Amino acid sequence: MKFFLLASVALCLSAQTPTDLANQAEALLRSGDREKGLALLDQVAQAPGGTAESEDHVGFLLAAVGRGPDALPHFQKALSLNADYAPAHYHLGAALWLAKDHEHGLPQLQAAAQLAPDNFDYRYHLGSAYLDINDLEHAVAELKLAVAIDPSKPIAWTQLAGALHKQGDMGAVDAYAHAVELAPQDDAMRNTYASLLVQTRQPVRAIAESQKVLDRKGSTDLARAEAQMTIGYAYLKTGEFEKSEKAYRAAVALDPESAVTHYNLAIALKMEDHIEASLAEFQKVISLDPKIPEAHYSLGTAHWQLGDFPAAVAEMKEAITLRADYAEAHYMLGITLKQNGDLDGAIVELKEAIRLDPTTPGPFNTLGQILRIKGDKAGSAEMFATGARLKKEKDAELANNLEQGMRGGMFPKPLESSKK
Amino acid sequence: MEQLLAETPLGIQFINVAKKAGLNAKTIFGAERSNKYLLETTGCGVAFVDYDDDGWLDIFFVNGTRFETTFPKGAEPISRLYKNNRDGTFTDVTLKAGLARTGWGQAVCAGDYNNDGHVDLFVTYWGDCSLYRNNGNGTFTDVAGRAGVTTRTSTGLKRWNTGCAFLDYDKDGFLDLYIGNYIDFDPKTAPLPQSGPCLYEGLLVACGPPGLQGGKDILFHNNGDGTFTDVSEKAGILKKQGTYALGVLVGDFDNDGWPDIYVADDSSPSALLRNNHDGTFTDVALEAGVAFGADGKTQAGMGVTAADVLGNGKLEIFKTNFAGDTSTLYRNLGNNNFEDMTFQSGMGRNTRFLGWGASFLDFDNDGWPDVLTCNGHVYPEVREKESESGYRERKVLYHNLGNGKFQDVSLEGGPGITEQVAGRGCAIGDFDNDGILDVVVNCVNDVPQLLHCQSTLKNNWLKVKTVGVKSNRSGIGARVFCKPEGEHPQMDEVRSGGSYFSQSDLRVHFGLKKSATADVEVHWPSGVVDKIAGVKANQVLTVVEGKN
Repeated sequence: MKFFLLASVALCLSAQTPTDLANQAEALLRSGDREKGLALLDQVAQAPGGTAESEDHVGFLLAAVGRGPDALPHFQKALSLNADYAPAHYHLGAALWLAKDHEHGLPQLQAAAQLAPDNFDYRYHLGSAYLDINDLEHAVAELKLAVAIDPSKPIAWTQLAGALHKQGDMGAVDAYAHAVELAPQDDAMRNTYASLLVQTRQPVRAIAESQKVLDRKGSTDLARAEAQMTIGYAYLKTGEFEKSEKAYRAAVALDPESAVTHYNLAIALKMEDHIEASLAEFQKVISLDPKIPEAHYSLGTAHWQLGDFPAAVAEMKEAITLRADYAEAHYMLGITLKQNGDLDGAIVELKEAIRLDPTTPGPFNTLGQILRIKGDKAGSAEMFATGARLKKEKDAELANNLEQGMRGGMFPKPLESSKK
Repeated sequence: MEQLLAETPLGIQFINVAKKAGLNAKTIFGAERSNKYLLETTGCGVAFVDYDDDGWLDIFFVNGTRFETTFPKGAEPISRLYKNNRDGTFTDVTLKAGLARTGWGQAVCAGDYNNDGHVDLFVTYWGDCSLYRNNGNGTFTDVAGRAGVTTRTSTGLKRWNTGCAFLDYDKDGFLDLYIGNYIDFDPKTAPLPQSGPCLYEGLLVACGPPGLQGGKDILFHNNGDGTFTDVSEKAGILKKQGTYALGVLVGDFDNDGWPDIYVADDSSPSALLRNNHDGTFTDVALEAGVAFGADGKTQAGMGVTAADVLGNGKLEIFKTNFAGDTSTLYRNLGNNNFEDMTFQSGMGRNTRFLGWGASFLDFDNDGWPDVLTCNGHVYPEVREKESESGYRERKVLYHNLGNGKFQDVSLEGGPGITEQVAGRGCAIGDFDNDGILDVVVNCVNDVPQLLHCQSTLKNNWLKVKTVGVKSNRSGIGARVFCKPEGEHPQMDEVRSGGSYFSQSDLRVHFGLKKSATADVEVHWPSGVVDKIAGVKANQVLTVVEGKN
């Protein structure tokens, strides 16, 4: 059998050019005749007289069948035959990028885009590469060119939206809007879009988009849970805590083992001042995943609100065990220790909070009060002065943003879903 | 009704009887749907005051106005004085009394500033304030200009005057005047919602106060001849740390016999102005632990009140704050040291309400001061939600359990407590003289509430009316001690101003539980002490300085 196979390949080789043979190998592979296709590909890979196009084609096929390392010499050979052959730059760049060789991959992708500036794939992949390495400015520029070349590709809009979002550019919302319009079945993308709408203070639109996921036949439970999470967050933002709770409860029903979902339900309950119910949900979060520092912190604040300072201290300490640089937890632990009468312990924690975050006035003010009680008037005055200075600076930042100004500290934000 | 009340867990119910009582005039304050300026949001105060000295509390409502609305001549919103008809109803006597003024009214405080035996009223405004001298014949005369308390600025900008209180800070027998200030406000230069944009929960709302230049409070010294002198700078008031003043409360917080001043500042540290006994004050709020919340953060202080919560002869301070925060209860440790006891006391549960009016009141006459807060959101843009935290909000009623703990009994307090309104100022007084404290509430762009407290508890009570001789005639600043037979001792002060922009009854009320008698002591600002033993319960005891 092997003899006949080789014989037939030899016959082919003797009669046709490397380009023809590469085309035939691709046809065999596409038709599902993998064995014949690979055999022919191996033969043509060894054959002399290849052109830049045929070498690139062979490299591409080798990469496509999962033999990336074998493909690289062919791309390189293609470029040695024609340094301006854009597809070879592109394929070599993509192969190197996949192999995590960003240093050599990026110049190849750049070269491809430079040689063929109107090629969507080149622009798109170059933009994605920039996004990968967090070069947002170049990523946005390339992805904008890509969607200008071909506005029908949802994946490019998604990538552009992601880059703009990371840049803090509200244009991200429009980019996601294009993406979900082009791919209405993509629940994950719509959920991401809706989540961004909440973050950009468009809760009503966010709820409408999330509702589309809920209304779409065939959406998975996880996608629906995600949509309910976004609705819950949107209602938190508008101060409609009962509706928020309802949405989070629906999310919990769809995804009962998600610690993040229970956490966000607990936040909604806390905002409704249902402290005991909130406390029970935080405990549920911890039973599902005891390693979430925010859950311990929030459980601690719930105990604190109820005046159970020893329990609050225990949870804050657990949060700090899980994340030693958790400034807010050190701060709250300091406050709670102070209220529990442990002034020395409070001083240690407040100083650590200040070391970790020297921009928040609260720990300075609380430390100032404790130092006053301990008779250190100069130290106390210095802390109050620093607190006052920082408050002035914060006020300037918050002058037009009451939302951030009024709700902090005691009310942790919901967690982002780990499934996104 | 008795049977109905007997079934309630508290044995009391607050019922809104405003309509039946004839309190039908709507308070106008800013646009109803959306506001351009913060000035449109703060609302007005109210006073329970016996202006005609007939032993029955009358009611004075401060009123506001609107931008961009021209009211027909004669139909402008005006502050209203209602005379108590002694039958549960009131008669509007505003015009006859000479109190009809329209403008951006804010607070009212009462005191007999000229010691003529008739209680006078001071009303703050954005712009010139009014000092209404009580002529003793049912009429008042605005003598603010003559008395020198119009509060004009040298720059021409109109002051936004807020909370006020009469006090005799130098104990010369004449009432001085403290006025809180928010900002010097000019609508021509004030930022608009869209200019920020100024956002709250995603909604465009009136800008501030962060980013606005805070105002300076004023202390006027009473010259004893019907005029006042601005002594703010000399007295050290201008060195106060915080700004955007709202509620003003006077009390002897360090038990040294001299009145101190606590100011609830919005979005900045609150102030405790310690009286230095030499005509000056020092802001000791930071060191005393009453400038911030329990977490060391500045709060948006609104209303403020004080009482001896623990029965140990020291005044605790209670302050209402913005939504997303708790109200704050500071325990007085003595010597200008306070400890935030909000969370230990059980008051840490409620964060969704935006509090304004704040009053201690012993609604069940058990001898322990309970707490009422009147709530409502700042911004009308906040939708009417299917929740308790919309623009209109219910009140919060805490029952003092007598052990430093408070229980939220709002839902058992009756329909007057649970009805949702855009509440602002509230005052406490017993308008029907049945010995049970009632509440009057001024609401924004709405009719007021008169919350009659109906009780089946049959606990005893005692009111003390002070008449100063050497001290100021109203007895403001007098400290009244009450020791009911077999019960714990109580203490309170005769107080002008307080709550949010409001004036409660100047008579001091004590719940005696089942005690039939009580021993009473009045410590006057002059240093005179009057002692009356074995006072029978259920009466108004008038104490004239030095006559006992």
